[in-house]
Amino acid sequence: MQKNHFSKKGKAYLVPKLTMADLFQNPSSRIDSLPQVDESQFEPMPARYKRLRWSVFMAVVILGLAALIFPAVWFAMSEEESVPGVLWVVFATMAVFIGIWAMEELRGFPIRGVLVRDHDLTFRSGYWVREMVTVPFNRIQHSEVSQGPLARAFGVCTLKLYTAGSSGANLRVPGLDFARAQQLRAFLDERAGQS
Amino acid sequence: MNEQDKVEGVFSLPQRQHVLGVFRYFTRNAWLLIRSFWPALAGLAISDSVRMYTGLVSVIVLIGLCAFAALEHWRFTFKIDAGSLIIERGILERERLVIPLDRIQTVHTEELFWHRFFSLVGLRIDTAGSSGAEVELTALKKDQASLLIDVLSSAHHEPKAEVAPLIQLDWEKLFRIGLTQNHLRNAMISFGAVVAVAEPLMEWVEQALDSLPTVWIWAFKFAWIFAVPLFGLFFLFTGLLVSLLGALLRYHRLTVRLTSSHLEMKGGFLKKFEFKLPLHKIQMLEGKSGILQRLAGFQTVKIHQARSQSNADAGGVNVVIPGLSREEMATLNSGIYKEDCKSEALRLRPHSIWWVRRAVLFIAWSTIPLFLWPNFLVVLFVFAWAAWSIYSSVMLHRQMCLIVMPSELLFRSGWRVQLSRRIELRKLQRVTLRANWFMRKKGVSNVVLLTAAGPLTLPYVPSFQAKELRDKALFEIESTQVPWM
Repeated sequence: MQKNHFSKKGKAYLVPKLTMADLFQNPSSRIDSLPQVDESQFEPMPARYKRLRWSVFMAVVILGLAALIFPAVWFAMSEEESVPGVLWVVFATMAVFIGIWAMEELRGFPIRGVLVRDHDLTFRSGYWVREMVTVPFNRIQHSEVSQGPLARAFGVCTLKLYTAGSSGANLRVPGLDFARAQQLRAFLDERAGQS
Repeated sequence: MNEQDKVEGVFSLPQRQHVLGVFRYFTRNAWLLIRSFWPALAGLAISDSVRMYTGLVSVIVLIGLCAFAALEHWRFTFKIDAGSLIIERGILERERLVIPLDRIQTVHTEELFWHRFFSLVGLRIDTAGSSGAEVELTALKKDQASLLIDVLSSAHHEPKAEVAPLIQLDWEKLFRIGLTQNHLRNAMISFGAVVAVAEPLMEWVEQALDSLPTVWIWAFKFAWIFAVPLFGLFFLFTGLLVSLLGALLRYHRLTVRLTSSHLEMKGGFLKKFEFKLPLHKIQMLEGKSGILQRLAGFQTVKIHQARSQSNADAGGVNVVIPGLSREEMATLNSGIYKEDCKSEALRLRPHSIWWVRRAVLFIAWSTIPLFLWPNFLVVLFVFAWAAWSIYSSVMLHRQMCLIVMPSELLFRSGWRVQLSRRIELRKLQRVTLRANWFMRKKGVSNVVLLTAAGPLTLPYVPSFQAKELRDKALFEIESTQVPWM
């Protein structure tokens, strides 16, 4: 039962008489006591997405090497001309490029992951350049799930989240399972609507 | 029937704008056409086979633009009915826009040069949720516009107490603002414009020179060296003149008032403007001061709204307040923000490897000419450039600092041109931590705090501090119940 509160004149108030301190509280809190993004909790990307990425990698490497090997063989077989130096430079550059990309796929893929908390979504990616983007649900303007032909073949899709302040998608989470992405999108829309 | 109802009754029937609104539609559409198709137009202009049809094409485009503007004006009507402003517009696709009067936040007025000859004024109506001006009325008679503004603003019932201006520019201050602009940039722009205009006249100049006596030509050949300092002086003088003229056009009789809920501005020379900006729509406050401005004891403030709102094409307004003294800046800050940045706030600075990396990158680029033209002068240039790179990097590093207050951030950067950007943490849109392989080895990260007005990046912060800042920012964003816009 609501307890009556009395003023000095004895008049009863049903609502407790509030002071400014009751209305507005702004306790200080230590930064390290705030909720933290736990990096061990990230949900990994599906293996199908890994296969898609490696397929793209292999296709590019094979096409690139083929484009270089044919002129090299032609020069090597011709009796008058030797393989020009520029071609060796291109070969070396391509080898470095392949090495960097392979390292990104090998070491970077396990790092990729999504963390969905009560109020925000974080996407972590990259081996050479590690990036962790966090979008609070109450800042999402709209979301989108897109799926190209290649992604459709592997059964994955890209979740795009849009916030204010820039023209394109502000967070792209590629390689999600289609069903998982739809589920996540519905959850985000629900949370964004609540906030 | 009270006075308010009578005033509303004036607008109860659908009304059109003044007939000269057609001219405004025409100029706006012509500008849009030029801007959208300028590469094609430039290509057509230099094509001989197309140039012969220039007259015909121009006439067709002109007739099309006139007809379109007249139709656009004819199909645009507005009225006030049942407490709402009702707009009907569109030529092929009809649109009916109903804006409840209590949703209208601000009504900006705009008086272009030609408006004044006919006692006209333009209105821009901004609502709480719009990402720019929701509606633009291009030309209304002044008395009609005044009545309409009264009706549109009636829902707010704001007390119209006179507030002392935060800043009111007189001629002396306007002159000082003009003197402290970037003259070099203005001179370069005007020089570029002169060259572009003079290019077609070169043939005529050559003909004129050919007709001169040979003695004169010889005299010119020897005397040109004396023209160099004269040209330099003329160049600077032109820059100064353009700066003064620019200041006059933009800031003539600028008056800024800061109330508890709005920032009111009015001024302008050829194009007069008057608008109110709700304080809660401010996303970032940016103070900027160059060396000349610091010598004169003031700085320029740019008020950033969400990006689409500051885009003039979307009906937004760019808010720049020049000539603010330290005290006026403090008043503006305290009017918009609640916290005192002098309190014992956490200060984050980039790691010292930031300036080393910057200097190394700058020096590495400067060595390219050394490989191409290895001579003494180039070596001298590279050494001078290296010294400058190191010095400027150290100075930039010293100035860069992020002050973290309980619910706000103040970012200071810049050395010759000093910048300060202030934001509320709760208005952030997202947070990104970024670190490449090298940075991870050194335990530092870039923190990118994205506001609706653009990003704010603090480079090379120790990773643990970057994560703490991210967690704090997220806590502030996610725990607030106050809308960010």
